[in-house]
Amino acid sequence: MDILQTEFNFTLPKGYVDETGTIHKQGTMRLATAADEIMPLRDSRVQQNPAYLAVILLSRVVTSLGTLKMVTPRVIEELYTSDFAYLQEMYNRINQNGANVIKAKCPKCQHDFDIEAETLGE
Amino acid sequence: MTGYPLERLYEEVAFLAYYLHWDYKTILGLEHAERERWCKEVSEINKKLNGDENKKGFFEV
Repeated sequence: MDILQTEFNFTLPKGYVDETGTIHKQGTMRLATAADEIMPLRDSRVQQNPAYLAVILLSRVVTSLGTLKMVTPRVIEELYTSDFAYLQEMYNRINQNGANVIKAKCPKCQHDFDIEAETLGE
Repeated sequence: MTGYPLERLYEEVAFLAYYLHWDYKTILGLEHAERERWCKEVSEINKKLNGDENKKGFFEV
């Protein structure tokens, strides 16, 4: 079996601003498991509002963000919309492609190739 | 954001639990790609045992 990369670094486009005004941009996301997708369904906030699933899911798979001790659902909730969207897209990429790459096809020769996703988030 | 298809997720977890008897927590803790790989391996064993090597396995698309 190939060795699977399970954690991916990222840099948020804007960054999370904590209560002291410190900006946290660099972080790590791990690959998702069945638990990450099944457990949040028991959460009353998700039952009331299915859209909240993305918040809980990201708080589970984002393993670090800047110097924060923990990445809680509250942190994810308070992200700028562009940062939230960035993390959602990254989640899709790493879990569907197994790498932080975008699957592409050359329009001329139809050759399939991977483009390294922009790690700076900009 | 696209989550793993839920019905498929339950099927894969049940499949591994049924054949491998791994506990629920262990199976839930496998990353999607690794869980899929184990489903494929178990499916291959089943095909060999049943003499269906040319047929598509349950988890082959």
